[in-house]
Amino acid sequence: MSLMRIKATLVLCLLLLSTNLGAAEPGGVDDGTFDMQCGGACHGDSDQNATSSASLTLLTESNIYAGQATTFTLQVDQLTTSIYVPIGLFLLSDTTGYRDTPQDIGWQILSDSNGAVNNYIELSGFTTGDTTEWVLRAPEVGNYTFFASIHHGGNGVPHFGISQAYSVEVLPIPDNLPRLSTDFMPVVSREVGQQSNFQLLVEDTDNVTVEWRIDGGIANQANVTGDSANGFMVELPTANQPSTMQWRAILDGEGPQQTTPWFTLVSNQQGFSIDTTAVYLQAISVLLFFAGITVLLQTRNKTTSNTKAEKLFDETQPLGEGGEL
Amino acid sequence: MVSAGTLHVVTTELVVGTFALAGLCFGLKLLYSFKILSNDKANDALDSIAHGALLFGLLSLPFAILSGINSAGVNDGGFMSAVLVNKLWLSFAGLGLAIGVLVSRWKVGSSIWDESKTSLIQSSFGMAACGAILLTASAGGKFARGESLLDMLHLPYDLILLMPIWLSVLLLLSGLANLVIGIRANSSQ
Repeated sequence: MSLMRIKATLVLCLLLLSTNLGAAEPGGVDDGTFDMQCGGACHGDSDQNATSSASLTLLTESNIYAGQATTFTLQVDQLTTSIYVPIGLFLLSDTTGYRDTPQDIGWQILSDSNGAVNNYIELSGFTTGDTTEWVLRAPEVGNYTFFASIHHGGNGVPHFGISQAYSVEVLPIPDNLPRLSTDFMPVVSREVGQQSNFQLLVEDTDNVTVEWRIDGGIANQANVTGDSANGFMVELPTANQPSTMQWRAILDGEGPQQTTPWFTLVSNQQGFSIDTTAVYLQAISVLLFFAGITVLLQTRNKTTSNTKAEKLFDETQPLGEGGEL
Repeated sequence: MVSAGTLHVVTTELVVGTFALAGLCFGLKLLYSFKILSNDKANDALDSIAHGALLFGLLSLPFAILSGINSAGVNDGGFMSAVLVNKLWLSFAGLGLAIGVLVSRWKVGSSIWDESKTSLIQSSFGMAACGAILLTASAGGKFARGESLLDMLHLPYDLILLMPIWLSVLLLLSGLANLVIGIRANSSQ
């Protein structure tokens, strides 16, 4: 083998050895309903994970009535990542990595802090001590276990952390308890400028008061019309800019007064929309234009140069006919 | 059944690899055009490699575009991001340039490298095709993973240059006319 080939092989080996086995999805995978570690889909091999320095504390009520909503608040401390690095947070029912979402044990996610209903959310600008929330509806009576987990990058390595187990006991509903109907699904997102009017489905409730607040600020009262016979209609104010509104209902009836968790309603800018036909037409036009201009330029240039050559050939006088030789 | 997303990864790898190779060879041919390089044997080889790689990339490109459209769900919900729109027209621009370069080489033959003007156009347009495809791939990285190798250039992926339909039609007709005139001009010689 020549010296040149050995050198080339060594350079290739050096390049291969210098590749990084690190983070597979450094920009995140977007929110979704995922098993722990995305079922292995995000970071490929969990053996490559480093342990996150973050400490996770999951706060929730230890007892909740069946079919009722409750808040799971996750506080993240000792987070050392840059605020520019997105972090991923999971709410899980076990740590097997297979069918371990809250939905898998019968719980229903009613809202998350990003304006959707996912057990995995990605957050940027998150600093140590910050919290995030999920609102879940409890299933049948029983004991349930929850975990929180964190994913983030840093130093070219995927980091992973998991909380301790938290137990929640679901109790049977007492008689005459004013409560949200199990059919009620809160609206979790809307566009800027859009007003929110919805019917609040309740049971054993005579009177409803709704409060709303922006980003944890002062609570204001929303306009509620109707009655228990015809249903309660709630009107939440319009958002003039992208923001996160929270609202909750205070339910009065024969039983003890009940207050629902704060539901999150995210207002986003109007979604992206474009005329698909115009896009495809422009793409085909650009294709034909570039193909046409290239062929035209090359063939015309060649034809012109051929014509010049022929002209030069025609103007050349034959040897011996009037020539000086 | 292989999903559109997986097929897109495979086909884009083929496209990017072959176009990058073609772009490199066209770049070297450009150096020959400026007489910076002068090895005849390598010069001939570069011509074959550049056009061969471009042809292979061109065959893979429609599959990459179609699988990309399917995996992004454009058929169901339309274009949900400006990045997707830019990816589409950039890949079609690359496709058009590649077709033009290959048709020119086929019609004119190896004498396309005999003159500095045609040689310069062939190399530059070949490199432009490669550039358009690499930009498309970079936009794909931005769309799928939120970052790409060309982030340091701060490219405006969120801006869309969408022409009015009448202008697109005009461009389409002029492109068709150019193609026909170009091919006929060469055939009539």
